[in-house]
Amino acid sequence: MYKIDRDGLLLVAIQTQPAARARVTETSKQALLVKAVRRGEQEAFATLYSLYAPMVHGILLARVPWSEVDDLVQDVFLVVLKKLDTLRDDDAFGGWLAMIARNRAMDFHRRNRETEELSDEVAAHNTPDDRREAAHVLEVICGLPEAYRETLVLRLVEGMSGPEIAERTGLTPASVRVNLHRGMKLLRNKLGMEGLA
Amino acid sequence: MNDDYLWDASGEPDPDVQRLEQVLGHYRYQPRPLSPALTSRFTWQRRGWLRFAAAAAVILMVLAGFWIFKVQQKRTVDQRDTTATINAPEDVPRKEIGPLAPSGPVAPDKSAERGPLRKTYHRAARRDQQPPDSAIGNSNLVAERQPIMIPFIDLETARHLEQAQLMLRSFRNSRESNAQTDPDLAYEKQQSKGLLYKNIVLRRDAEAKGNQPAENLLSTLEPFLLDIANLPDRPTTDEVRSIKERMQKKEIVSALQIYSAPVLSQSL
Repeated sequence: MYKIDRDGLLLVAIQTQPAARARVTETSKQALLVKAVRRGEQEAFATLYSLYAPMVHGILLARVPWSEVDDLVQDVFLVVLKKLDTLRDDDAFGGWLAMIARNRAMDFHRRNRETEELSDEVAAHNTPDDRREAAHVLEVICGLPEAYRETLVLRLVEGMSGPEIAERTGLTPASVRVNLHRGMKLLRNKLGMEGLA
Repeated sequence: MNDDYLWDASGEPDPDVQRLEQVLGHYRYQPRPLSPALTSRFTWQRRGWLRFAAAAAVILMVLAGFWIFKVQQKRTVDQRDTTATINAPEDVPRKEIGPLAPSGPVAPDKSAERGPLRKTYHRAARRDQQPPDSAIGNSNLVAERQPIMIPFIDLETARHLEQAQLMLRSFRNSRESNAQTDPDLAYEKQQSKGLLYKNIVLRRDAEAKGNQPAENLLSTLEPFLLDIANLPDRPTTDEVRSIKERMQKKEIVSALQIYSAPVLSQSL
């Protein structure tokens, strides 16, 4: 029997020994949550959502305009609910979800190819200096290669640590570390040339 | 350069990374409650009985549709049969029956033996012989539950037809003997006379009302009543057999039953 705490921790509760709660590993935790969602438990889905929404938000932010990201996050989780039965390995949920988020971002660009967007640069003219600087830095990050930009956004925007990024996205920690290191180096160069405000 | 701070925020803070974190924090994900679109899917998923009810409703609708289709199909077949039976006797030439002939067997009416009415009787007889699983057999099944509407036969005519049918059955079942006539035939002769007068009255009434199907049916019955009523006191075997053969040929007993039974069952 399992129980989900408010903070998203999955606890194993044994009725005969209430104190004997063991924290299960992160991988089996998400697998159990996925199983619970399959059974139709909304609480488990809420937990899964709160755990993975920052990752989905970061992946989308690295690809689509900020104003669209929140709606697309909801879309991605709707797709998750629809296609959850197609996920074979519950432990691979993070990587599967990241792929859905990337595909959703691509769909967004396909559908909006012909519409003219108000770019972040233009929008930034009407915002305070901090916002303008943030928009500028984000624009520079979005100009980096895809592997670096996604990892950097998750680290610098969403505040996730390297191990967290690896665990959520399904990448190996080594890959994440390399991406962070190289991406940060590129970002420093670009910002060093143009300079931070 | 030490990347520990960049990796897991441990170790000596990197001022550039800290600055970028501070600047980009504006874009950080802000926790929000689940949208109604997401929660509604769970509400639906949880209520398994709703899905079960929906599936049951669909199955019931399909079954009801199938049942209605079958009933309508049976009614169509039934109506087709009734229409064919009603329309059939129209071509039979009208025969005017005069007063009761004095004596002697009346020659069978050849023209009445042919024509569509004969076909109708054949059809009725065949219907009785059909296996129950055939389409026409099924239409009989419906007829048992829902009597066929025969608008041109009123209750009085139906009762008359039933009495005539019983009398003809009795006559048909009489034993043939070379030596003498079956003694029971005297009763049939007497009953046939009464039925003949009533048949004439009913036929003329039908003619006056323009009820041609009833008129034709009664016209077909009349020669048999006439023949039986006019049998001699000691009829020969050939005379009796001749009437029986004509009865069999025209299937008059079955026809009378078909026309009288539904009306009488409705009156009950």
